[in-house]
Amino acid sequence: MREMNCNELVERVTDCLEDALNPEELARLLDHLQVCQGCDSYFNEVLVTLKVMSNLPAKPMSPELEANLLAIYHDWAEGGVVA
Amino acid sequence: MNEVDLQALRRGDESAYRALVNEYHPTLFRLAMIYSPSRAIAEETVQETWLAVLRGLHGFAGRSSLRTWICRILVNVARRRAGLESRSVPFAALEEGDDAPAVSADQFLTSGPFVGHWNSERDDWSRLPEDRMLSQELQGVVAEAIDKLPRTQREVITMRDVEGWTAPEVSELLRIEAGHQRVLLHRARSRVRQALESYLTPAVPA
Repeated sequence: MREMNCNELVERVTDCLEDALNPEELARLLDHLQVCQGCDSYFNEVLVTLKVMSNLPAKPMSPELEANLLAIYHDWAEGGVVA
Repeated sequence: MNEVDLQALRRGDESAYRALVNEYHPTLFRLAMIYSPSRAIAEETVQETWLAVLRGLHGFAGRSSLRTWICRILVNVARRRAGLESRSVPFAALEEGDDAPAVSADQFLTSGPFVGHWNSERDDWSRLPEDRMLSQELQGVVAEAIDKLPRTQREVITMRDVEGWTAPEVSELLRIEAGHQRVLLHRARSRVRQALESYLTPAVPA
């Protein structure tokens, strides 16, 4: 089984995390990770990136939009034609 | 939102509606921003989406989840407003001039027995303290990198990694194949990781 190089691993990380590697590819990737400090660090960089993205704060709704959305609902609930 | 809430919404229960609007706002606004040049335009898109949701509410058959249905309406409204086709992007149109590798080729050895391996040691991000990872500073770097992505990559990474949707949910929302989604996700994640690396690695004077 041909060894996986670092420049190949960086292109397969997403497939690995998406569970889209076949068993042989997965074995090659994991074998390489075990012996390569650089790729182990790289993999962790991707995980850190995912962690930051999953914690991005949401922007609050503006008071104008909130008021508009309520007005729309009242019109609708009263059976009026929603313009 | 469960079946009881849906009934309440159809009955005209304002608190059920408020709860729904607040629950979905972060997702709808993030999606709308992808197609909008400003926050004001994105809010108009969200408003138009709720109008369409209310008009269609009695016909909502529950074939998709309520949130997928609402987000799908938003994507259609936003794409139409932006003058884009609302159909999915064909796989061939995927490139968008972006087939750059995940990591620049100059970070790998180009000859010798270790060709294709890293040519220098990498910084160890596992030493980053937790509070730095959650800092506004790094969030800003990541948010800016996402904003700069080509639209299709931005759609996928926003829904998968920021909003935490599953791959099948995102395929249904954006009408894209699983393989296409993985390619877009890979490119997008690679760009965002690169932006963090550039930020965290102090430039070495040449």
